[in-house]
Amino acid sequence: MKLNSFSPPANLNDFDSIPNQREAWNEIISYFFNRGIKTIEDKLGPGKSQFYNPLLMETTPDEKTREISWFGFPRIISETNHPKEKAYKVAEELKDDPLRGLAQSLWGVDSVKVRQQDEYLEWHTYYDQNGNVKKVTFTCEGPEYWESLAGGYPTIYDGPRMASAEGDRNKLLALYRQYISPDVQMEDLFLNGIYFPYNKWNTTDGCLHLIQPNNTLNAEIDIAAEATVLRKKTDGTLITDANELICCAKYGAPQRASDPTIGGQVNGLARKGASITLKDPVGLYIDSINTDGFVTPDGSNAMDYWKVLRGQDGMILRAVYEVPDSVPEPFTVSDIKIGGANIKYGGQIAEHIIVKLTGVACRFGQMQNQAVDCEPGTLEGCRRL
Amino acid sequence: MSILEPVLEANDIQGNILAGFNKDFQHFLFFEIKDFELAKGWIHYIEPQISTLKEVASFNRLYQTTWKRQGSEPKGLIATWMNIAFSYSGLQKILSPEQLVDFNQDSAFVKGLKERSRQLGDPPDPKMEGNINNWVLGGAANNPDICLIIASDSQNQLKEMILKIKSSIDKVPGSEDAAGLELVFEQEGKTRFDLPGHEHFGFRDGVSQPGVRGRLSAAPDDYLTKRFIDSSDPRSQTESTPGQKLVWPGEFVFGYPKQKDNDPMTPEPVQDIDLPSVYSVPVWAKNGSFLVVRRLRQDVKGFWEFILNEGPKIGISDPSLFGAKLVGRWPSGAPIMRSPNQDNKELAEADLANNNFNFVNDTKVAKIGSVIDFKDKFQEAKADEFGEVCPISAHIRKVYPRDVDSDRPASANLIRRIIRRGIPFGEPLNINLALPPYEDSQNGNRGLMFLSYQTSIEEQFEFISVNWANSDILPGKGGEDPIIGQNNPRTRTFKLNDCPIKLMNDFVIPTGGEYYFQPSISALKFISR
Repeated sequence: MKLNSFSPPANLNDFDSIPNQREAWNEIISYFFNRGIKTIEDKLGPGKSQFYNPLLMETTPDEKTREISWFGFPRIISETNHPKEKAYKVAEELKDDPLRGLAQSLWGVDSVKVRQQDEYLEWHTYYDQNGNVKKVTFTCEGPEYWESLAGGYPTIYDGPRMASAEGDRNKLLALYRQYISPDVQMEDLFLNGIYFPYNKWNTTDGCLHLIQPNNTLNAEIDIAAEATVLRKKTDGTLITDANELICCAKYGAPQRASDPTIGGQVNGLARKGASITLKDPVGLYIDSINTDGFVTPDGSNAMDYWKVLRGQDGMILRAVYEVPDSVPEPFTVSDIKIGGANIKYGGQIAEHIIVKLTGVACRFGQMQNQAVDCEPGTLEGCRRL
Repeated sequence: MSILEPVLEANDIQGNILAGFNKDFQHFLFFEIKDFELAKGWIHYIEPQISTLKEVASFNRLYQTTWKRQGSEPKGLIATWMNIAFSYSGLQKILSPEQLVDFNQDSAFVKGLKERSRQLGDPPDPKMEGNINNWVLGGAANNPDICLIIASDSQNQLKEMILKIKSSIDKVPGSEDAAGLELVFEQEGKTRFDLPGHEHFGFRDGVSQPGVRGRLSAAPDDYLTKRFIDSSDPRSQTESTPGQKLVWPGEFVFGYPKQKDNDPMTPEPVQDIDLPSVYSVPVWAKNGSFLVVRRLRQDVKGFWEFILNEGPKIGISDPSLFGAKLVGRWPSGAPIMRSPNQDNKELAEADLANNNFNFVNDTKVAKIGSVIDFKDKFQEAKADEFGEVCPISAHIRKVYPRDVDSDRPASANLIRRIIRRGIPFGEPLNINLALPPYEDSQNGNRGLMFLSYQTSIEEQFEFISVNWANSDILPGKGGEDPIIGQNNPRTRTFKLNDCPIKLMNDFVIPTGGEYYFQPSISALKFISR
């Protein structure tokens, strides 16, 4: 069966009230898929892509779903910062990221502040006047969704615009006010008339969607597509190790947990001769949080303070961890201990959050592609093979 | 080209960590420190009796070579060993704060098992047996500051040693003082003599251990872990026996190169200065290790009742097969990946074949070095991507996923490995596949004294337990570990042939334990100064 249309992540209904916006989202995702397929076909030849667009090609009854999961706390931050407390602290810090080319000219700024949380999960920790954690908000939503909400299509986008959607700025503002602060003003969200993801409400003062430069929905689709290409070493042997693969094919960031494992698992399915796509609704999601070991001062269930704000169980896009003021004997998130340690940073919670994307494989054994050579050059973080 | 493996300071490392006592009889004595000065005197007395890696490894080698030459186990060759470890609360009583400052205050070792119990998924309900309030060792019951492990091939020798130690508590030989210790718990452990090498559910245990890299002397191939694969086979670079992956010793003993999570061969160098700044232990922790002790009661009746009742409901009438699907090995120890339909005792007994399998890639037979005359004629393991042969959440696939890319690429699975040194306790209840009900004169008092060694309790033991065994989605989506998984509320799901099976009871119940540090011999001298 072919898919009729790509749905918004977690089947969110924000687009329902915006003319042609659902159709535009379908166009956008389809474009990302087709672009990935074209890159592969340029390398392997027409019809040889093992990554497919489910709108255009059937998913056959032998389909198998594969949930690819990893932990939300950035591997690279924990590897390079010791002790643990330092890693948690660094994970909260924004850093400057230079803007180049079109992005620089669109907004007229040379650099922006971004989060360093790079496993497709970003968060913002709110502290009270005593320095205790009041709440932590988590998001997996890619910038493309919010850019589309603001203006119909992602800001930097070369794909079709037949749906001619224009987004809804008022809806954007309303959602910012709902999830971040009632004080958000329209002019805060735009720079040079274009939606500015690096506005203060999504950087220093909150976290509505992903802004780490590689944390995009497009990147996820690209990695999944590129990882379907079989690769070989210089001696001709097939590459099966996920770290070697990412360094060879040069997709994603090798020092993350997410990208290498996404690529490794997708490639494993490709080596079985399968056709692979991403499950609709396409997105990165929080699968779950494990609060075993979260001990509250009043014995209440720590899971009570985890609230899904956007999405649904198993496909969570936005959540908050917060102790409401209404509890009988007030306490803060910092009074909760994880394994005996008080929560001082959002990262301590992120360590217990699983993030995922879901692939679908079918037509096992039917694709018999040859492995190709590695891309030239060396990616940062890769050893020479 | 071979990598030069470090020389292990075998006179300084306690012997159970890397060599392993491997005895039929072990006894565990747990002491609370009551008087720190007296206790230091006792530690000073006991230190020369603590068995080193050199001693234990030499004996193990002698045992193996004698066995090989004689053709049967050399029963007359016996040894009695002893090792010692301290909880953080124990160390606090005998060392100054300055000497302990480099331990991270939020670490699992410092917090102790009682504080970390909830994190492991142990029941939070104080009415449940597995809750810390009901533990017999540690928890709310007592403070087992010191763990003394005594092991022997001879039950008589063991008894003699136990008496000697107990007597030293009243009066330390060579002095007029008592030891300043109170015996708070003791546990006898022993091999199941009805099924040697098997744990109480009836399955062979301890088949798969990491192959620790390192040498026992400066001789270039005096390896701690013997190498069996022919050097012409590339697998000789990364495996000792086929399927036993080599892991750098820093994963198990402080002060040695560690395993990288993204490179199976190149180690992460470790210098002494890294111990406090990167690994959050003092410099004197070098040559030491963390020891996890968990006293696990096994509900053998409950396990077999479940198998015999539930199997037929999902079309599996052979209880051994159902058991093998839950565990990943048949009761004999033969891996289901190499024997999908029935048990195979010959495979189980072939040490060069019974661990040679992966899960998601085909596994070939490796070329064995000429010193051993062995031909692996058993069925090769074929890639089982979707868990059709060995379910995704089968116990051995959960706790060591091998070539499965999980939350990180498969190479990272090697940084989660632990060395297991456990031993059963209690009398067996040999169900022998009979139908319930079962008569049990021991009232269920049997299980496993689980012991593991690792240099990071959080990244190794706790990671496996919390993030894999207790998860329904990692290392792959297929339910929690049916043998050791825990979650709250207490229901687990196990996916078999696309059927989710609900497990309403825990078969393995924690009844005690603690996190310990097992210091080097030189650190023991330093502690007892």
